[in-house]
Amino acid sequence: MKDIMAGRVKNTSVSRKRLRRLSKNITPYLLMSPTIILIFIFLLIPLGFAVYCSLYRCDYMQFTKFVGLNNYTDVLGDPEILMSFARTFFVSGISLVIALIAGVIVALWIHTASKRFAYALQIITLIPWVTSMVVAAMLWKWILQDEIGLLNYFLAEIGLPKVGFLTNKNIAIYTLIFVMTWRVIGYVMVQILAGLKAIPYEYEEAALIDGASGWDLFWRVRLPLVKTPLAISATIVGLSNINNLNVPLTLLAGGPGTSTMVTAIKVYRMSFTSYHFGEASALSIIMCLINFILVIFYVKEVKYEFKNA
Amino acid sequence: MKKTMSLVLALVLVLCVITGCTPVTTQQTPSNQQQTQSSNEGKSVENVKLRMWTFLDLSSENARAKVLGKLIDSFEAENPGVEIIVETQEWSTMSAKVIAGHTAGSCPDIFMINMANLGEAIASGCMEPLENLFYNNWTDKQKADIDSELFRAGFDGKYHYEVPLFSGTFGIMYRADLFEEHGIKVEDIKTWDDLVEVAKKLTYVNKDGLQVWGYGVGYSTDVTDPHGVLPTVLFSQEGSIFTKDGRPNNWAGEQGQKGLQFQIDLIDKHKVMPPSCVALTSEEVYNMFEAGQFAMISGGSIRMPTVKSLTAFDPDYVEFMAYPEWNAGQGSSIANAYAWNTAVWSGSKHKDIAGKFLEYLVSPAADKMWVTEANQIPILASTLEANKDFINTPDNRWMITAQNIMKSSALVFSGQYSITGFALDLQNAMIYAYSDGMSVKDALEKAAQDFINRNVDR
Repeated sequence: MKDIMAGRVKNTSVSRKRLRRLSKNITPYLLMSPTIILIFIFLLIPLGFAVYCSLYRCDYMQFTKFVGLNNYTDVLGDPEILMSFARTFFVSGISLVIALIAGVIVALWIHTASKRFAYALQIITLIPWVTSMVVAAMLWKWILQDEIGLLNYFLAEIGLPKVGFLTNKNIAIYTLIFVMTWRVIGYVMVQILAGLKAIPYEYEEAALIDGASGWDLFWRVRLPLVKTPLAISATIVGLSNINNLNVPLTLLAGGPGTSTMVTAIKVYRMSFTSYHFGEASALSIIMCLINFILVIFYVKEVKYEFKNA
Repeated sequence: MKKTMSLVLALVLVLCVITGCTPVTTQQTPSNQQQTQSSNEGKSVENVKLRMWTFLDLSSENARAKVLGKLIDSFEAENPGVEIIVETQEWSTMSAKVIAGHTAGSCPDIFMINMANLGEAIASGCMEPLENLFYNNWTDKQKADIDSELFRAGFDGKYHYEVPLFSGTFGIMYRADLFEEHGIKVEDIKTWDDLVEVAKKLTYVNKDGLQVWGYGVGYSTDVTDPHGVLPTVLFSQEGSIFTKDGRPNNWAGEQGQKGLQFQIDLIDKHKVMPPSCVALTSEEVYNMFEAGQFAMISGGSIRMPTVKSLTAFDPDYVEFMAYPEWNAGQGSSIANAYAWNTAVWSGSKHKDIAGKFLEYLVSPAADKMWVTEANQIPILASTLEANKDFINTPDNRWMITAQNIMKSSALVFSGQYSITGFALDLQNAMIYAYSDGMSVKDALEKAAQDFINRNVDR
């Protein structure tokens, strides 16, 4: 009898242990499941559908013919689309470099400035980042217009000739770079400033005691220690610029001519002007793959941060 | 202090989120409450909700929107249990959304399609034949009353698919006050060269220091209309922009090249248009005309009431004229006539009621309201006759001009083939030649090929 009871107790405690182990294994997944479901519904399913669309002739969402990889070859064989890729990388790259340099400078300025001035400067720098992209692009469009723009008005008032910021094809692309850079400097500043604040003061103090100049302090102490936030900012800003549709479309709509026709506008026009969803999906998937490469870089940098934390 | 500030900021944020979350712009007419009441009072109730897509915003002060609102109210009062829900859409994308929606199986019961997408819409099967709704019940007199080129544009040889609301044509909007000031008479503008000379006189800096340009057209490819010299030249000289099988009709021929070169010369050689025109949308051109920066613009007659209501100068001075002749003695250049083709969705679950409402929108009583309260060109011939006194007034002179243009020198596209995006391609020809530096011939050939790639070889 005692043995039987002991056996029952043993079985109950074993099953309780199993249940506890199961619960421990499943609980994290249950907690993550809402997010996973949302990612599945709003990211993976649409992505899968886009891949499916890209394999068909799909005008006005009518799947008329399976074309396999023809949409991809058509898109990659179109010189205009290849030029749009070149423009996208040119605009994104230059905007990124300027934004990083400007962001670092502003972050350093805020880091060393008095409290009130630093606070004011942070707000001013962040305003472009928090302003809606379309609103910001519309404002700049009105400021830079040839006939009724504020900037050309002031230029005319001081006797200078008007500049075709939006109508001269050699200048328009730099106008686009300017507006895109203006928008992201705030984000870079915040990331770098956080990195600077995280540097223990003892490091800087030790460097100063050892006779380091201002430049040495920046180049040998601060910059190496903000390398990771800098790399992460570069990745995020790069992704943001490459995929940005709102600013180029609102500001210039790809013009004048095709001088600012970036890939995002091409995808938009293919989808919502021509309603050729097959080709548009193919081009979107190609853009997605390019983004994926940048994301791999980003994830590696974040892992580096965690490993070395 | 910090806690208080944080609390205040959090409250502000919550308020912003609440007020920012505005509902979808679906508008229910005020009579809905009455309808619910009356339906609860024991009358026969169908409880039918019809969705209608239009670019009109019933909450705005726009005259057409107000008339539509009144017509919906009276239809709902006459048909208890029926509720019409208007969903305002962006006009430039609405037509394509309807076609895509039909393919996806979800479309409003009543919608409007523009002329450029009519062929595509008919081919997609999204429009219910009017013969299945009310047309077969009409008398011959009623059928003759609505008959017009615009109505026939939606006829595929067997069925009619649409009723043409808000018809109009493209031409030149101009400021009669500036004409008077500079001693210019409209009758003296016979050819495009005459127009250039007039535009030169009207290009100046006014006493307020504002640069006024003689002529304005927007060539941006963002929002496009078939404006400019090129479409009218192709219409006039080649007979039509398209061949019978829907291909570009000799766009890169001699006349097309002359037309495109003329457009470029208006900016570079004659300097009557600002170089920024290549980046202006048609909406921006209307806004600049309203602000007094253009003396003449290429525009649609349908915009006359709206433009008149927004001018910075006396609206009575806004007039409308036909495009001049390309060759002397040939007659005015042909313009594109258009309408918003209103139809019932072929997949609607309430086709009968939707058809009844569609018929109501083009009834003589409704047509009179469109004309007298919204300044629209009459849909029915009988309305024109019955409201002659109203139309023959100085304020509404432009309606007579537009009607005459539509009768004598406007072209309606056939709904038998797809012409989606042709205006974009013709604008692109200007962009390729003026901004990208292509030769005029190459620019036109590329534009024609773009059209073929998108519409024909699919």
